Amino acid sequence: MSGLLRGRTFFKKYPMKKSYDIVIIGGGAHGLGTAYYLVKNHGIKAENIAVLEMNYIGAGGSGRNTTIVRSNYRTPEGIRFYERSMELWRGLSQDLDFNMMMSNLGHFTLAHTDSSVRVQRERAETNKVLGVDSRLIFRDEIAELCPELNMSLDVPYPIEAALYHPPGSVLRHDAVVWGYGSQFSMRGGHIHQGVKVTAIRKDSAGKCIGVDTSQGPIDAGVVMSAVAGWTTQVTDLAGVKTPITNHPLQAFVTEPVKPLLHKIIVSASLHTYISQTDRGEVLIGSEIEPYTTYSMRSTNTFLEHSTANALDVVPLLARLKIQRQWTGYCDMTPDYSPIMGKTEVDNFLIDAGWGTWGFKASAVCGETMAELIATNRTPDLIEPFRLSRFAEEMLVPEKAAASVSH
Amino acid sequence: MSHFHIKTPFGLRPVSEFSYGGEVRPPLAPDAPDEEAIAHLWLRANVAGVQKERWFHSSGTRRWYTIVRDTRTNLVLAQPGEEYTEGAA
Ligand SMILES: Cc1cc2nc3c(=O)[nH]c(=O)nc-3n(C[C@H](O)[C@H](O)[C@H](O)COP(=O)(O)OP(=O)(O)OC[C@H]3O[C@@H](n4cnc5c(N)ncnc54)[C@H](O)[C@@H]3O)c2cc1C
Repeated sequence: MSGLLRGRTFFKKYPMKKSYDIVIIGGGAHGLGTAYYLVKNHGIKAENIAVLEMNYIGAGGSGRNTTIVRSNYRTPEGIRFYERSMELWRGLSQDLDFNMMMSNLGHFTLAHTDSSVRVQRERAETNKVLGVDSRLIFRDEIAELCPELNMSLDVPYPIEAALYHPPGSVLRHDAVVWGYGSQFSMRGGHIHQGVKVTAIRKDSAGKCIGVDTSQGPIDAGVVMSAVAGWTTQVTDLAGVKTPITNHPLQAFVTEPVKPLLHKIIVSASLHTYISQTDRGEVLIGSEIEPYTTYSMRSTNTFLEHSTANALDVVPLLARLKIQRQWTGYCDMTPDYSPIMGKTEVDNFLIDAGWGTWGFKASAVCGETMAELIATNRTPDLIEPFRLSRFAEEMLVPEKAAASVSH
Repeated sequence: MSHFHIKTPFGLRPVSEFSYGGEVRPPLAPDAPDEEAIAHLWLRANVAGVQKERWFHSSGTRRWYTIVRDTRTNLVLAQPGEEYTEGAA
C-alpha cells in the first residue's frame, strides 16, 4: 500500500515519439488493460507502447457503464471467458494497488414466464458444469434472499423463478481505468490523451505499418483498435468490414440513500436492471435503442419506461428522486459476443463488439489481447470470438444472457 | 427512444410505432458467389452520417417505409417518397 495520500500523478506526460512497437487506439479499460498486461506479463518495455485516446481516459463506455461483473453466461465459450475475468477482478485491487471497491452483492435474473424459466435453467446447468456458482431458485427462496422484491401475484408479470449467481458483483469503473492507466504510466508507458487516429497506414503489401493522428504520423509494429462504440470509424480506415452496428444505451441514478437494496436485480421480461451503488444511489438501466444511431442524447421516454418497469419489480423506490441520466455507445454484434483478434490486415488487431457487455470483460481482454500481441498466437479463450466466425457460421449465441444490457 | 417522425398516409407518426429494418443495401444477385452472399448476410456499413433505411410500421399501417436519416443527429432528411438531395438539411 503506497499510502493514503498518494504522492503521484495518475498519468505522466511524455512527448509523442515517431515510432512505437505497439500502438493501441482507445484509452478505455480494454486499451489500458492490454497495455498494462503487455508490460506486466510479457516484459515488453512500457516506453515502446502508446495508448492513443482522442478524448480523455475513460470517456467511452468504460466511464459510462453500470459496473456489473458476472460470468453466468449461456455458452461454454462465453462462460469460460467471463469466468477468467472474474478471477482477475478478485485480485485486481492488490495487483494494481488501487481499490476497485468490488462489492459482491449477488446477482438475480428474474424469470416471469415459463419460457424464461427454461432459459434460466439451461444457463444454471451449463454454469454448474463449468464450475460457475449459479442455480435456479423459486419464489420462497427469492422472497427470503431479497425481501425488497415485489412478490405479488396480482401483477401482469409475477416473479416465477430466478437464476441466482452469488459471485455477481459491482465495482468502481473509474478505478479500473485509472488503475490500469496509472500502473502502465508509472512503468514509463505512453498515454496520449486528445490524440485522434485519422488513418491506418499500410505498406504496398497491405500490411499495417502505423497510423496517422491529429498530431502527426506514428510508425508501429502492431496496431490494435480498442474503440468499442467507434469501431466502424476505425475499421473503415483499415478497410476491414464487420457486422457491428452502433446503438445507444442509457442509464440513470437516483439521489443517494442508506443501503436498501442488497442484490443486483435483473428482469429480462421487464427490460430493467437495478442495483445500489456504494455511494447509495440506486442505479437503473434498460435496453439499447432498437435502431442504429450515434446520438448520445438522453431521453425522457427512456426515463418513463424504465422507472415504470423498475417500480414493478422494486416498488419501494417510488419516492426516490432521479438525480442524473446519461448515454453511451454500444457496438452490437448479431450473436451478442465480442469480435477479438486478428483481421485480414496483417498487424492490425481488433478488440470490439463489446455492445452492452464489455465492462466485465476488460480484465480478461487486456490479458488475452496482450498475449496475442506478445506471442502472435491467438489464445484459446478468445479463439471462438474471431471475426471470421460469421463467414464460417460458427456463432457464439449469447443473446439469452446479454440482451438485458449489463 | 429518441423522437422523430415518419410520414405515412395517415400523417407523421412517432418512431415508437415502428420497428427498425436496418440500412438499405443493394439486393443480392441470385447467382452471387458465396463470399458475396456471406458479406451481404453479415456485414454492415454502420455509417455515422447520412443513411437510407427501412422501417416497418408495426403498431399502425403495417407497411414498410424508406427514409433518409442522419444517424448523428436523428434528423430525417427525406421522408418516404421524397428525394434526398445532399446538403438540403
Ligand atoms: C449505459 C451503459 C451501461 C453498461 N453497463 C455494463 C455493465 O453493467 N456491465 C458490462 O460488462 N458492460 C456494460 N456496458 C458496456 C461497457 O461499458 C463497454 O462495453 C466497455 O466499457 C467498452 O470498453 P472499451 O475500453 O472497449 O471502450 P471505451 O471505454 O468505449 O473506450 C474507447 C475509447 O476509444 C476512443 N476513441 C475512439 N475513436 C478513436 C480514435 N479514432 N482515435 C483515438 N481514440 C479513439 C474513445 O474516445 C473512447 O475513450 C455498458 C455500457 C453502457 C453505455
